Order: sequence, then C-alpha cells, then structure tokens
Amino acid sequence: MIRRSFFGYLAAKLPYETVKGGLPDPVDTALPGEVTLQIQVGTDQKSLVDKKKTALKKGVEVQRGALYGLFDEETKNVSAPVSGTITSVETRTGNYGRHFALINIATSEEGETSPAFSDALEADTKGTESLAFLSQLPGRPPFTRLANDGIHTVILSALEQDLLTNVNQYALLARKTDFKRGADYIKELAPKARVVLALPKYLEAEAQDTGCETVGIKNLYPNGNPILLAGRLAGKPIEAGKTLEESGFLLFSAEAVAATGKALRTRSLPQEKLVTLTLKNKETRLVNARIGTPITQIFEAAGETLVKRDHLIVGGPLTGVSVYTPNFPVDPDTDAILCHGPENMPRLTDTYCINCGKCVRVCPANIPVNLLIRMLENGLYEEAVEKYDLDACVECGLCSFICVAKMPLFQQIMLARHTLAESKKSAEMGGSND
Amino acid sequence: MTDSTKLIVSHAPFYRDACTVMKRSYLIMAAALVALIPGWFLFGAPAVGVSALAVASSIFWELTANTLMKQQPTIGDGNAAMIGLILSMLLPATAPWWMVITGTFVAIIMSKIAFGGIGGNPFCPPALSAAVLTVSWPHLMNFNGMLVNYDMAWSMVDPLINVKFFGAETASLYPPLELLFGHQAGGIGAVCGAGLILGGIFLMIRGISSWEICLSFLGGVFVAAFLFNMSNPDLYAGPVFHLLTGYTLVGAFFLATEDSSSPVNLIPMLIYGFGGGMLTVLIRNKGVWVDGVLFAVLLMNLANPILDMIRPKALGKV
Ligand code: SF4
Ligand code: SF4
Repeated sequence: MIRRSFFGYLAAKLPYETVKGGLPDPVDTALPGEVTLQIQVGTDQKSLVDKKKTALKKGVEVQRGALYGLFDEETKNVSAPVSGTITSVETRTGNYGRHFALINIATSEEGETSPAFSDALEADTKGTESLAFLSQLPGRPPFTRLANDGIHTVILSALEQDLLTNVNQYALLARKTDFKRGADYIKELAPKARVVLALPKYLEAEAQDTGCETVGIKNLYPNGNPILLAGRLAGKPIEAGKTLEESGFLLFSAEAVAATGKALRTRSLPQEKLVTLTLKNKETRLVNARIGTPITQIFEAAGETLVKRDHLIVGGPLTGVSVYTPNFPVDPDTDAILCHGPENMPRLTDTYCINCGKCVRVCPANIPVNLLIRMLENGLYEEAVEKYDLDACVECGLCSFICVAKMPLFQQIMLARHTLAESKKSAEMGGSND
Repeated sequence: MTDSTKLIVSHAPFYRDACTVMKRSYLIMAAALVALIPGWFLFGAPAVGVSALAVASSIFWELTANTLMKQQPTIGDGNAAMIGLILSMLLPATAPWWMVITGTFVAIIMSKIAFGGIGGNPFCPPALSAAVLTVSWPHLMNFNGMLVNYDMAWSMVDPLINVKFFGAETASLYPPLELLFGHQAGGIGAVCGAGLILGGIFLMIRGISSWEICLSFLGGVFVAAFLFNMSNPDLYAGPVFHLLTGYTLVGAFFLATEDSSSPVNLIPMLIYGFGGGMLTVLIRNKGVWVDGVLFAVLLMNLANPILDMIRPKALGKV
C-alpha cells in the first residue's frame, strides 16, 4: 500500500485512495441493536456525568432525528440516530486525558422520525435551530460558526483527512446534486465569504457543474490537511499556533456538504455515515452505517471478526486513534476504520534519535524535529515552542512515519501540544477570577 | 460499550516506514564492503585481519560498556560493527593488533558511549579515532611504512607524501585510472576509488548519506585544489589527484555524512560539506599533516551545532 521508492532521497509518496477505479457500491449495515454516542466533555462535566446528574439518563426515551441536551434542555448537543431508550450514560478517558461522555441507546423498532427538524426548517431555513440540527450531520459541518464575522473563506474539501479512505471523493461524485444544493446553501449563509471547493486534481473536470470555484490539489498526503489547505488557498501559510477559525477559515468535508443538501431536500436528517473499512487482508470496503453503530457490527457485515490482541484503528493510519474495544461506535466524523492482526503492530523502540534528518526533510511545517524531540523527551515544552516551533506543527504524523529510530515522535508532539493547551486554558480560567 | 475482547492500543501513526537503524547500518556496511573487498585483495590476509579485528573489537567494547552500565545490549543495531568496519577502511594493512583495538576503544567508548551512545556523539567516531591514532603513532599510520612489506607492480610510495615533499610533478606517477583501481598505498578501504564511488552512489540514492554533504565535500576539495593548482602548478597537484588520493572519498561518503555529527538542513549541509572539502586541501597543502580529511571532518563536526541553526522558517512563523 505504501509505495516506497528505491530512491531514498525522494520522500516517501503517500497517495490518498481515489475513486478512479469506478465508484464503489457502499454496503449498508443493518440497524444496530444498540448505539453509542460520544460527546467530548470537560473535567467538570465529567464529574456531572459520573454523579449521574445529566438530563439524558438511563430510562429516557429518545426519538430518531430529535435534538437533546446532555446536561440541560438549552444547549442541544445530541441528535438521536435511532429511536429507543437510554440504557446507560458513562464516561471514558481518551488520549492525552480527554474525557468523553458515552450515551448508550437500546434501539426500538424503527419508528417515526421526529418532525422537529422539518419544523425548524419550516420556521426558518437559516435559523439557529435549523443550523443546530445540521451541525449533527455526518462529517460534523461547523454550521454554528458560519455566522462568525471573521470568517472570510469557507473550504469545501473533497480531499481526505487521512490515507485509506475515499469517502469525500465518493460523496462529491455520487451525490453531486445534493452536494450542489448544500454548497449553494452554505454560500447563502456566508454571503461575504469566499467559498472554494478544494479537490484532487483528477476530479477537477467532474466538479465543473457544482458552480463552485475549484482548486485542484495533488492527491498526496498530507495535502488534505486543513491548515496546509488553508495556507495554500490563502497564498500564504496561516500563522503558527492559530486554529483555522481564528485565521478566518472554516472547512466542510464534501460528505458533510452532500449530507446538508440531502437534509434540505428530504427535510429529514441523514444519519448514515460513509466509512471506508480496511480488513485484515488489506481489502477495502465502503460501508454506510448508522452513526453510533458498534464497529464490530460493521466488520461482521463485511465478514471479518475481531479477536483478542487485534489492532483496531479509527480515523486512518497516520492520524487515527486505536481503540480498546470492538464495540467502539462510529462517530459522525469517522472516515476510515482499519484493523490488523498483532503481527502488523508497528514497532516502537526507546532508542535515541540518531539525527539522520529524515524527519526534517519530510515535515511540511519545516520543524527541526530532531532537535524538538530532544526537548520533548525531557519535558521542556515551553522551550520546544519558543525555540523549536512546536506550535507550527500541523499534526500530520509524517515525522513519526519516517523516523529511522522508530521513536514515538508523534505521540510526544501531541502530548506536548495537549499539555500546553490545557495549561493555557487553566491559566485563562485562573485569570478571569481576579 | 466495553466487552471482553481486549484489543491492542498504541499511538498513531500505525504505518511505519520500513527503514530502521539496523538496516541503515547494514546498508552502510554493504557499501563499505564494495570498497574494502578490493583492498583485501590488494593487501592480502593482514588487511582482512585488520578489518575483522576492528569489527569484532568494536562489538566487544560496546557490549562491555552495556554490561558495565547495566543497559540493554545495543550491539543489535549494527552501529558498533559499522564504526569498526569504517575505521578499518582508514587503517593500513600493516596496523598492529593492539593499535586496532586501541582504535576501536577510542571510537566506541570515548567518542560514542561517553557522549551518551548513538545519536549523541559530537564527532564522527571513526574519524576521531583515526585522528587520535595518527597523532599518537604517526609512524604506524604512515602508509610509507607499508613499503617494506609490499612489493607491488606500481609505486607504493604514499602519493600524498610524494606530492607534499617532492612537488606536484610526482603526481604524474599516479595516473587517475590506477588510483581508481586501488593501485596506491593507503588505508585498506581508501585506496580503491572506483569501489568508494560505487558505494557512495548507492548510499546517496538510498538516502542514507545526504547527497548534499557528499557532493559539496567533493566540490570543496575540487575547487580548493583547482585554485591551489592554478596559483602554483609546480607545487600543488591538481584537483583530480586530490579527489582520488588519501581519505578524500572515504571522508566524503562515510565520515562527513555520519548522522549525529553532521547537519540536517540544506544550507548548513552545503556549507559543512564544502567547508570540509576546502579545509582538507588547505591542510594537505599548507599544514603539517599529510592528509587533512580527518582533521577537516572533525573541525566541521565542531561547527555543526552552530551551522545547523541556519534553517528555514517554520510554517506560519514570522
Ligand atoms: S507531525 Fe511531525 S512532520 Fe507533521 S507537521 Fe508536526 S512535526 Fe512536522
Ligand atoms: S527521523 Fe528519527 S532518528 Fe532521524 S533525525 Fe528524525 S527523530 Fe532522529
């Protein structure tokens, strides 16, 4: 899968999947008996969940397509992908100490979908209520932030976030009319912003009739990275350490745009997520799964069973996360799921950096990773930012991919960035008290 | 959500490039062998003995250090063997056994382990060790010493000594083709120019030795030798002679490119290589030492940390 040139002085070429071989036919998975919804929560909210002080709790009935608030009725942040009864609300702690609330729902018969969304559209197609619904679509489109005045460019991206998936290219081609409807809607919502469709070069001709300004981009990793993409569209890199939104960009994945179009057309929320599965024998399958479906079930539909000591990765081979249970759910932004046996576990070592310089050659952000890692290993995070540009990292994982010493570079980098972000947050909170 | 099927977790990325430190060491050793094998044929069994002893004693020193410091053995990464092999390229076939063992002690213990092991050494270990040997036992590291032991069909006087003390016209004793095929006195792995060039090209295209350093080093030697030659053709030999004699080619492909003591950014690599090449010729023509490669490489190693501060601005930084 990885084509590594014999000529090592050339960087490894990591092409994204394409849909050049014809559009795949997505496999539909059956309606799951239980779904799980994940919501990232802060530490204080985590204790609320642990003390069972949430609005959504065991025994509450939910209706498909309706919006609920996890903690109160006001901030609605959960859309039920199925009708059923909540069986439990728990928490889990993910990478770098991030907390998630998990809402488990036992599915009842596929009943009526809630009319709430079409009512909201009826009242005001562009109202806050409608946008709150649309934000729950597959791909998690950032509709609620479109109203922000600082946004000057909206990127509709048909590039993928990671290798081994082609869901966005598929969505652009197979759902073109819905995509166009969705894109037009976004243009109406942000009349002053430049709306650009970024897509792999080979699709440029196909996208003529979407009516969008298009920018063709080489279909090589990490060109689909949001920060790199924004820099390319703006003609200059976005300032190190700033988020996309702070720099005036928003990114909608092609799948999210198409889902928006479909939602407006059918007046109900699409809740099927496109996911590329990679099986143990390296075959890939495109599946269409209800949000919240446990991953085991999807693999079962594809004829693969997960056993103890397997490796299950959600989100792609370079930037994804590996999960500890096959019952992990499909999130609205899960594009790729791959599994492999223990024999394919990437080897990590605790040897030192040998200063070969490969990471420096490959880093799209020009970071001196060889020096940076020496700081990070010793926990000198502040120094890493000041002298070695930790804040410019675009989180692509290439340095770790290429590292000759097989050091956990990416893990160290991500840990440092999260630790710094956390301490910044708590400093701000402390500051607002006085 | 949890169930009893426990999966393995780890951090991204889940794909890893296949190149490891071990593979890298083995490839470098393979390239070194291309130049060493002709040397073994030319100088016979003693040369093979020197190389074998160098590799074995390097591994021994590293293992001893590991044991004494209660560390996991690190000899598996092939780095110690590689250092031994490269050191043996620089030694004369007549090197006595105790000198070889001292040499590897300096290379492994004093220039690598003392600085924290692989990746921490500020100097290229084989170069530092060979320089220490040259300073300590100049008569044993003198390739004219080989004269007594070898009776070859070609001139066995060290070409660099000849040119240094008897003027540039003696360079004509050494036609480039002869030098390429190893018909000269010199280090076991340093005489066969053709083998070194083949090995070097292999390392460069596999991305193991930075081509920037190799080529700029050779460029530096060429330019400096050319200028000297222009200024006084009677005194100073021409660039081709300098490229093919002494340690120039070993230096360019195996010593200057040593990972931890060489820069990783483009401009520093070019300055480092070019500077090393210029210094080499400068020392050869003006200094007291016959060959300048070792000292030039060590001097540039010293400048490496400062040089490597010249680097492109990171993305989005002002
Ligand atoms: S993850 Fe590594 S390669 Fe990618 S931008 Fe960050 S430092 Fe550079
Ligand atoms: S690739 Fe790994 S070993 Fe090489 S310089 Fe970078 S961190 Fe060090």
